[in-house]
Amino acid sequence: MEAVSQADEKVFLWINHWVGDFPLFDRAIEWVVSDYLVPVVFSVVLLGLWFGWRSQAMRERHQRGVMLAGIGVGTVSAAVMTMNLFYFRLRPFATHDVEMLFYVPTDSSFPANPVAVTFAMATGVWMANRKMGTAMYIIASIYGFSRVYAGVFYPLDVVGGALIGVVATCLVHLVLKRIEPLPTLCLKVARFLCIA
Amino acid sequence: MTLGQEYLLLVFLSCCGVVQVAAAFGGLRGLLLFGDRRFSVVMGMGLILGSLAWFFWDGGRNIPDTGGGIAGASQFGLFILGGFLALLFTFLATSLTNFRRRPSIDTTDGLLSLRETTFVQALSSNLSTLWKLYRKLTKKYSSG
Repeated sequence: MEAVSQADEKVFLWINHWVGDFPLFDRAIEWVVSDYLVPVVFSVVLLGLWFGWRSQAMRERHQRGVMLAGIGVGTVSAAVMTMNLFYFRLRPFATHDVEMLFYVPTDSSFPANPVAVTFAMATGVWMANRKMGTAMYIIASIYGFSRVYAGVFYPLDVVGGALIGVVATCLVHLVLKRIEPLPTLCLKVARFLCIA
Repeated sequence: MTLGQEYLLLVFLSCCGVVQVAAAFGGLRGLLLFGDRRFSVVMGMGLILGSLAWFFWDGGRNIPDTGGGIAGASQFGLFILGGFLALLFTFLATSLTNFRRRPSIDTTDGLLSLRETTFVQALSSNLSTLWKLYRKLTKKYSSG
């Protein structure tokens, strides 16, 4: 475990030591790493997927994916909050000399909550639309990398967050299948209200 | 404007924009603010990209919530509020701008019925059907 932690720190320091060498890249990372850009873009994509299909079958498939993503985000947030009650990992800047491109957060480093949330959204979409889901996975991975580069998380925090996001959303998918008449009923009510 | 208000405006504008783009691709004429589909796509994309460019013009807005930034829970709440307001605005505004559309015969298809009719017309038609059904089912139990 100690060896893994040391390797994690080494990889982090290697990635973070590039900060300052490429000012334009750093500027781009300051945008990508933002709390607002990727989450807002992903949420807007979910809204677009809810409305933007010509056939009822495609629309329903994507609406189920959006529902899954939404419930997945809630589940992941609850899981991360619960984990933080039992385990607290110091942020990289607390123990290392780090070049920061972000503000100084105070919560636990592991798991990376924003990465878990974006991977949960990507997984929900991937279940309905492979191409769009893959694109979202790529963007979520870039988002995760930017958080390491900016000095906010260790690489393992990001990997852990991504895994939690994917696994939690897959579990939600299984639960939704088990309680099947309920999601369909929700969609039918939404359809009656002309919002689905 | 505070960061929270700016964020709310960003969400409102980008959600309005994406609904226009999605409605144009999905053929939901009853949800288009302007009749032309191409114009709706251009306008929607303009709203999304314009609002993002405006919000992030000065950088990533990387401010801690202890220093005027938005905490995660507040961010979620503001997104829900902004999205809700955007949908409400779109549903009401398109019901006004497309009020000449005839109500579709079958409005039980949900969003699909918005190809032919407006949101307010479709919803009122569905609610009226439900009310008639309720009256029919409860008639034999009523004393009047």
